[in-house]
Amino acid sequence: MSARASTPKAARARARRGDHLAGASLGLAYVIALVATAGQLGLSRDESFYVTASEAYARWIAQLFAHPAAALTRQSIDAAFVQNHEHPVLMKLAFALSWLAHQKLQLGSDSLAFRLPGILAAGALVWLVCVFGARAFGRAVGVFAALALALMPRVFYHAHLDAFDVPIVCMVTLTTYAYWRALVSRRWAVMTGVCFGLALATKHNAWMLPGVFAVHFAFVAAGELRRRRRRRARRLSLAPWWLLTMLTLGPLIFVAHWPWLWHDTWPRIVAYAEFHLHHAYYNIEYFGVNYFWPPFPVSFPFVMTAITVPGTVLLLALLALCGRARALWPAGLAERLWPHGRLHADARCTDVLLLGSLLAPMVAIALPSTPIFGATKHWMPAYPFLALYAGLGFRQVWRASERWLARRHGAGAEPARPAGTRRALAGWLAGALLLAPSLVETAQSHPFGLSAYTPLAGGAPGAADLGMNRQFWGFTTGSVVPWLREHLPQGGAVWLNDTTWQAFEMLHRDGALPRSIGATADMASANYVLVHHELHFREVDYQAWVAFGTTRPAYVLTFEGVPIVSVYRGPWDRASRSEGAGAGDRPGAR
Amino acid sequence: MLARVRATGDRRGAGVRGRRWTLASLGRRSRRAWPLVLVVAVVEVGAAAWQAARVPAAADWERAASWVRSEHRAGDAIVAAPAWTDPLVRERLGDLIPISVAGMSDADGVARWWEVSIRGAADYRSPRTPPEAERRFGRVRVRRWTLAPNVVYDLTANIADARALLRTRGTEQPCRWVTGVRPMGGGLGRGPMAPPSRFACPALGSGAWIGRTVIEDLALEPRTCVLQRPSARGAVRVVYDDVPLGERLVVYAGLYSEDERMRDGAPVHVVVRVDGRVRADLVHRDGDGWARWVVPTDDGPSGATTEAHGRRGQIAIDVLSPNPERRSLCWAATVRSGPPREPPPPEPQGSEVRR
Repeated sequence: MSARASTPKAARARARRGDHLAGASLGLAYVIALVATAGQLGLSRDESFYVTASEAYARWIAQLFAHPAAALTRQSIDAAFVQNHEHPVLMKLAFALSWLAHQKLQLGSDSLAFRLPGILAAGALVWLVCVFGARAFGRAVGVFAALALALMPRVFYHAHLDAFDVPIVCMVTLTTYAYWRALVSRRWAVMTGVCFGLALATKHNAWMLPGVFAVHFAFVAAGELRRRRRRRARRLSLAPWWLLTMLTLGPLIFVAHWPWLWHDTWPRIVAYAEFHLHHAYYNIEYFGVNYFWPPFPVSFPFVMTAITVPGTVLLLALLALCGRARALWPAGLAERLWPHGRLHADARCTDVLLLGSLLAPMVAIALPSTPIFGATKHWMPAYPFLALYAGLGFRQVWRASERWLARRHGAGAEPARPAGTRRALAGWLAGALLLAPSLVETAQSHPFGLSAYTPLAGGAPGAADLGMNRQFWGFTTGSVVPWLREHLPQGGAVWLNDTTWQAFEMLHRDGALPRSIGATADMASANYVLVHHELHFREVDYQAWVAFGTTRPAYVLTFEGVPIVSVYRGPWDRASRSEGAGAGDRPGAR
Repeated sequence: MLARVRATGDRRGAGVRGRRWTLASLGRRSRRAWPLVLVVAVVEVGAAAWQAARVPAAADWERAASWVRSEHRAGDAIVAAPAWTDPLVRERLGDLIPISVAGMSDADGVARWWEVSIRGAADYRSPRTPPEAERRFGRVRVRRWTLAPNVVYDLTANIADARALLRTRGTEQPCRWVTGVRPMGGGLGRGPMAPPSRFACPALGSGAWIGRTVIEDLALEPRTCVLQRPSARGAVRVVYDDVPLGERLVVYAGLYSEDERMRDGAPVHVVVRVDGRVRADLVHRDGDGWARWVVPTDDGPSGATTEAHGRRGQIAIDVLSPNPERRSLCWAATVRSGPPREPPPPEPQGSEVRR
């Protein structure tokens, strides 16, 4: 080892490279896993809307390169970006670019081309969590946190999609990380503004970030001022440069990235904000009740987190949070109320930031005034911070395992320091064991991630007993495709229930379903009717009974024995079979 | 609550007598508990595997269905428990579960009650008495009870025998019974499906109809019933001219859930006439859900057996509302004789709004 390499600075640089290498490796592995499994997921409702929008944006991008002047007219911009103008376009532009690249490079299936940017964002998120954890608490914490996050069944599902939910988790985490670094670095203050702008350009979850940071900064400032009053050395600047850049660069990037806002800027920003502040209420089943109107039970995000995040990860996070509780108190209060303890808040009050970032998304959804959204994805930005605490919990278990191993190997009254090999072995074994439930539950959940519940709820059957939401977005039609292919060899018309026509069309584009099997809006004339089992779709079940004169589904798709999709066969199909006719020319089919 | 520290006069325990739990001892003492998380992880993996293994095999369902099928008789009802297994039971036995059974209001017309269940569940309507037969097929349990049906005539099932009309001042505009026509509707929020056999009522408006369908009631449960929407043009009437009158008429009525759940609609009146005489003016208000009424069909004491119970006569049901907008009233009525049974237990809560 050279003298240069052994300096603390070089060692730090080497450690940083190692952190990034570990994070990048995990991120890459995650991307590979997502790409390999994406084909098993049918397109969801929201994805299909973004596909339609992205194709419009792709046409505009192509026009921008071919005829820039024409593309930049208000008419062209509005014609393209009126599509799905209730959401900013950063990710949709990425989907569009991926789609354009796919047309040249054949990235796989059409759906994968649209999903690839979201999948890459998921990989980046894993990388980022690893690095965040490594910087804050050590590489072991970072690696465990990244894996714990990646292997949450619902995160794994959403990570596949051409949607904004995982990208905004990535952007919120990135902005939080940048802000955390900005507390001791002006360069990162600029990055904070840039990241915040990108987060705003991804999804409206970013709106809450300044508030979270402001509360946290109050903690930081109080500690620092107290320290200065005691004439101790300064640890960080109290000038909120991060806030300045967030308030300047953030809006600038937001407006600049979204051509829709280049005209009628203020009215369109107001309309965008109002859309989300007064969002339509979704139907959501919770403990057997279909909620469709506020107020929604405050417990919802907390209970759903408890029964959808693997229990071991939750327990690790909770224990770590308890163990680090002293670091959450303002310095003065901690010394008065909790005088004996080794743990102190660091200069940046990292624990306060992590806990605030963990709680804010959940509390925002829990507020009775918040519109009913109903999916775990809406507070998913909390999960990286939950995972980081789980990483801290893992470190504690590791250390405890080391001590236990040392005692077992006869080190006397005081535990001896384990040998390097034994230490590593303890870490790997503990990590593997603690992540095993996540791995098993995620593997079991695919491709029904939204139907998956942890053993705490009794799995999908237990959740069905409890009356919990079973799915949404109609993506499970993708899992019925093999059955439809088998039972409509000559084609026919399918009534789709919750699946959009664009999502169904993607099955054609991907080659999963022959074009002779079309969609129909007329239930009565369909060869087959799909019913996605969600509580508020029960009426569709009953409609099919009346339309077809039978209560007997031809097929029920299940997950862990729980019905996911019922398929009813129409009398027209029965008649056509008996006459040996094809269905390709029937009215209503397309 | 946390860990105990000994008060020995050292710095930590200064001034404290005996032993106590303190926050300060948490981190120090709880370290010993950390390895227990490894045990939790093992338990969680085991629980996930155990849950997967508890899922009934398809063969269990098939064997259970096969037994039910071999013993099934006309008039039997088959239900599933827990309720979410209903599609699985209907997949195998749906041809034995007609719409009238799938959407029944109570079990009073049922000769034998079959319950196909898993996970030890019981249907909320199943008798609390011991079953006359019970068999297990792997993880699927089948139980059977014999009941004493007391339904003399089912108005809902026999809607084809009725007349439907719009009654305005001094005039009656009849609806026409049509069969084999295209069912209309389908989709979330679209409401009850128009059946292929129904009364077409152009006098009530374009595409208006009266007929037997299945609605999703306020609790989102299926209810097989006659959809008879009120009209601003007059009283909408369904008339059964020559039917057994029994001792009483049991009427259930409710609205399609999306028309009722906001609790802001006008009340709906269901006026029951027997041989031209008004016997009841039942009022359904939003929030009532699938409501039940008992209407005596003779002048004797309720439940009394008189000669009149063997007589036949006319039953007419009028539906009216001061504001008929989104008033998708649907009723299910049966003529009954004999000792009345207990009303069915309340249906599970299915839809919620707090205003």
